[in-house]
Amino acid sequence: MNRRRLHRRTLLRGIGGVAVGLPLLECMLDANGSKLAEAQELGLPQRYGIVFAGQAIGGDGWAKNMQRIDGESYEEGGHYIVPSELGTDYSLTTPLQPLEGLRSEFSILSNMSIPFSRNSAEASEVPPGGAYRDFHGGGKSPLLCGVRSTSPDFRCGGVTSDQALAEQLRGSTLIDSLVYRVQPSWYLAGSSYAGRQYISYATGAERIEAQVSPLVAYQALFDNFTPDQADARDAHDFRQRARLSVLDLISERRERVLVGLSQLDRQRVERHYDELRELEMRIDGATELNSGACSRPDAPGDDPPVGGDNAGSGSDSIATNTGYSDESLRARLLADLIHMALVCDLTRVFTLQLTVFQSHMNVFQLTSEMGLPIRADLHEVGHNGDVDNKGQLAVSTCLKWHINHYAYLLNKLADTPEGDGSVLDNSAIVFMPEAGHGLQLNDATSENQTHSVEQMVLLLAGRAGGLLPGRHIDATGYHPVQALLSGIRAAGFAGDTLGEVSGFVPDVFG
Amino acid sequence: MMAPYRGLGRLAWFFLVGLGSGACSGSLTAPEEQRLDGPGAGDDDDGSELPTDGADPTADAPDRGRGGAADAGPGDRLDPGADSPDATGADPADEVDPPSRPTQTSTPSDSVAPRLTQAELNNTLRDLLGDDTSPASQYLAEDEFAPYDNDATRQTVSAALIDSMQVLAENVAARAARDPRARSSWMPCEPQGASDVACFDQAVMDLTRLFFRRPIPDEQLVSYRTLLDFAEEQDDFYVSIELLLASLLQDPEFLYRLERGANANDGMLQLDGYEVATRLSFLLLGSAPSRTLLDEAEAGALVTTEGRRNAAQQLLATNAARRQLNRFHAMWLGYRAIPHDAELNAAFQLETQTLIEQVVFDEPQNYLNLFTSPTTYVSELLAEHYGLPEPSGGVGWVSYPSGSGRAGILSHGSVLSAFSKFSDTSPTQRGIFVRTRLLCQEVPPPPPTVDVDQPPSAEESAGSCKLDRYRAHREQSGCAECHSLFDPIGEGLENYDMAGRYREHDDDDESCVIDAVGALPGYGEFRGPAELAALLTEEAAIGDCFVRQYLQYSLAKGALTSAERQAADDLSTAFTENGYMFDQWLLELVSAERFAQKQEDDQ
Repeated sequence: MNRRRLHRRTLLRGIGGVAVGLPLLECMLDANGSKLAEAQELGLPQRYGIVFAGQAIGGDGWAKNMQRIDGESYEEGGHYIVPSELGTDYSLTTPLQPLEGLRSEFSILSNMSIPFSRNSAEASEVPPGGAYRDFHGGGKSPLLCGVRSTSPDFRCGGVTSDQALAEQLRGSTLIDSLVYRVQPSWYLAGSSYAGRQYISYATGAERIEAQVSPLVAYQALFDNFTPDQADARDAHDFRQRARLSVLDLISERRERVLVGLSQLDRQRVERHYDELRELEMRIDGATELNSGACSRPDAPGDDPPVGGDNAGSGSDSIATNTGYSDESLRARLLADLIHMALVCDLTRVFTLQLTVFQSHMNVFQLTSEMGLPIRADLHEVGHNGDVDNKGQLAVSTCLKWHINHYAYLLNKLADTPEGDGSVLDNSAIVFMPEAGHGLQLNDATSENQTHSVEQMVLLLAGRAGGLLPGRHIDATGYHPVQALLSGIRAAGFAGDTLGEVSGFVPDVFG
Repeated sequence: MMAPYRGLGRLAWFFLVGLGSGACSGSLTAPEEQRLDGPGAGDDDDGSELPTDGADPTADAPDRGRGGAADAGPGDRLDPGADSPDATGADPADEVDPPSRPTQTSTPSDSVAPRLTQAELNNTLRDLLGDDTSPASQYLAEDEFAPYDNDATRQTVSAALIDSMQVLAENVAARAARDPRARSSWMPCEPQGASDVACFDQAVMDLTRLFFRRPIPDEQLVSYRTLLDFAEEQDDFYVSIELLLASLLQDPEFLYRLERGANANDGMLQLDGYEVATRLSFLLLGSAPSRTLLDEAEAGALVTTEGRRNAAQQLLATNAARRQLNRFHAMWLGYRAIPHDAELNAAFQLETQTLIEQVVFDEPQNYLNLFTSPTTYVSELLAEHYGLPEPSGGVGWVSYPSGSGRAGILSHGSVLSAFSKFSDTSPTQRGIFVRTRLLCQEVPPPPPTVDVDQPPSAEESAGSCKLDRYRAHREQSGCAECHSLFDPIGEGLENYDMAGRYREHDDDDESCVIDAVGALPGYGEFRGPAELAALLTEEAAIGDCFVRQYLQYSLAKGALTSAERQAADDLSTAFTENGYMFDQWLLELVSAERFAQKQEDDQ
């Protein structure tokens, strides 16, 4: 009945399942690649992912030990994310508290910077891998893909770290990468994302739209695999045959549909057909889920409803539960799916954008649940908070919410055995806030600013490719992309350059 | 620049470069483009109307960051040998290696077939299948609004879209095929058994025509019979119908508004009746053509001027046409979402929607009355909110009292709520709104060195009133040139807060009495929305800008080319000459021969 094509995925299955490792490249066998080589010899996949937070790490204009809570301004350390001590014996700061049980599993890389011209705000003066002097947009391209920005637009000038790795691993797993976003709506009345919703870009600076529906994400990942229950298999087989037949009918019309279209339309529609064919291959390539820790998770049910735009204009007036779509639940659901996709080796690369760049998600509900109600959206928390709550503790409470989801994923990976260790041992998982907390990028004068690409912080968890976690590392002088390069390198990336930035942060390998 | 298309009059200019594909492929350069957005509107990825004005007077002077230390930067360990593009300001993306698969390389000026937006998908599935669950809003990523939601160049194709469309299609198809009552409205026959080939063929012929918006050749129809095997297997005819719908909904021919045209003559292709029906329906209703309209296409009615006029008249008589025009205005004037509580928002929306419908549909009149209307439609809640007389019967029309300073849509809380910032009105943002949205002018972007996200600190604002701060800022060197373009406009509206209420003084300081004398530079001074509207309608040709905005939305583009701007200018003249009668102008527009043509691809 159905035309059966011999897909590339089918070929892969035929030669021993979807978990086919890449050939070991000679360039991986340097000092940092030996662990990777060991892992590959054991057949253990190495993974990489980014958990992204669209917020700064400090309060605008507030020193790192200052805050205003319940209307009282006071000095108290320990709330700003960066611990005062280096090495292994550091004190956990407020936003890091969710990671308390994982101290040995992640490292803090602090004090990184993206270069910018202090003399000129002209686009032509932006240094390689540097930032155009207009935050937020100016910080995006150098942070994600190591290519200088030359305008305030929210775009990337090249491929991002996750996709650079995914493109090299293409064909190793059923799905090249997972690109998920938790915040499903922009929330700010009268405006739109304008590019703030993308953190993954393919080669060619091509935007990759994220999946925002946990329900669709679940179905796309697991619905195609044969169910465990024998009595459900006939129905599943019927549905899969029907699905492929439906897609075949579309594909068969391809050339007829393309006839007569202009060149641009043809290009656009062909791209759509190409993606449909990828879907066919994902359906075709899904058979039995692996055994062991890999199993089909529970279906997430209907998505939480998408909240309307904020009732209020940024701060103080925000109190009702608008501008919020139960991101806490959405984040957990998507993290569950990422966890099992990695465990089952359906993919080895993911991005989870918890909040978009310059996020205007209403934080009132989630901060209330954390014991510090803040009547503001996330963006305003960084700048001005609400009338009673601002500065480091306010910002760190929101950052803690983000890191809580990062910790949730790490814990699940750490609790899943693999080889002699855990899945986390074979992963490199980055937590990436949007901004640092230092000299303002725009004016290059003001200190302790959220609009800063100075004093940037990343967290890097896991032991993939020889990573040695568990420490607070002073990464002064390093570009954040060098930390990302270290992460993808640990997961098997053959290369040392992303955009205009080259090299690693050697200390993460111990 | 193209040669004028002779013999068709001014309206022939409309769609001169085509509503769809390839009309200007590869021939446009940036200087020919003009964005209609305000500041923050950038290339490609941007186009936001987010209030990142950068012109906020509370921000520091833009030159404060200059003259600092030498360019050291923290990137000492960067590899200078990495593939770095030269520092000319050119977009580094242009220098990246070609990708391994087709990319989406269209530019804002490209004319490409738009994909159905969330709203269009929801409307279409409601109209064709009776599915009122707004499934596109449920499963698809939110569209970009720039300010319109249909800019094809902002639409991307990725696995997320494909996965979401599959789930959407399967859910919608199952709902439709499994509900006997609902399917009676769209199934063309009653099957006699699970393998009723005749009924299935009839359904395929009817539904492919409905969802592809044109008939497809018989040999393609036959291929769908494979789906009957599944019906036989389950002994359920509607299994095949469910799969048929799932296939149609995922088909690019459904998802994209594709135009091919035929019979090229002098560089122009003639659209067939079905393609005209699709243009008409999406433009006027925001939805796919009905069977009735497709029948008219089949009968050849829509390739004639009179046939298009008649069809458009019928479409404009529907509630869907009202919804569509309201939606355009909400995107244009920035109130598609309003930052207040739901009850007040609903009252605002009703007020604005009713005025638009009165001016365009119920009592067709000079379109500019939308801006100068002396009456407004309010509920008791809204009357109390504004301090207006209560309407009789709980909701209805009331006249603005003498001296209220109010008139038309610019007095509505919907519009006055938009373009606010920092929990208050922003004279800068309101001025930019008038410049960019109502006058279609470009304003310079904020200098990058200004951090526009920071409002005045308490220290900076102590002892000064809001307008004093704005005026003081405008006098600073480096600020005046831009701020004088828009702040005076916004100042004239300062007596109206971000919920549209009249106020005598600053929100947080009764001693700061607002003396709201505004100025529309080049046109004159004004106080309040009524006087501003008078200047805009009598002096500043707001009608011209409306035409440009409508054309941009109609073309599903983020920017107009110079040829399109010329077409808009000619359409504006026609609009003026007919006394700004919108309905008549729209009928002329769709009945013009050029509406049924597209430019031949010059590839």
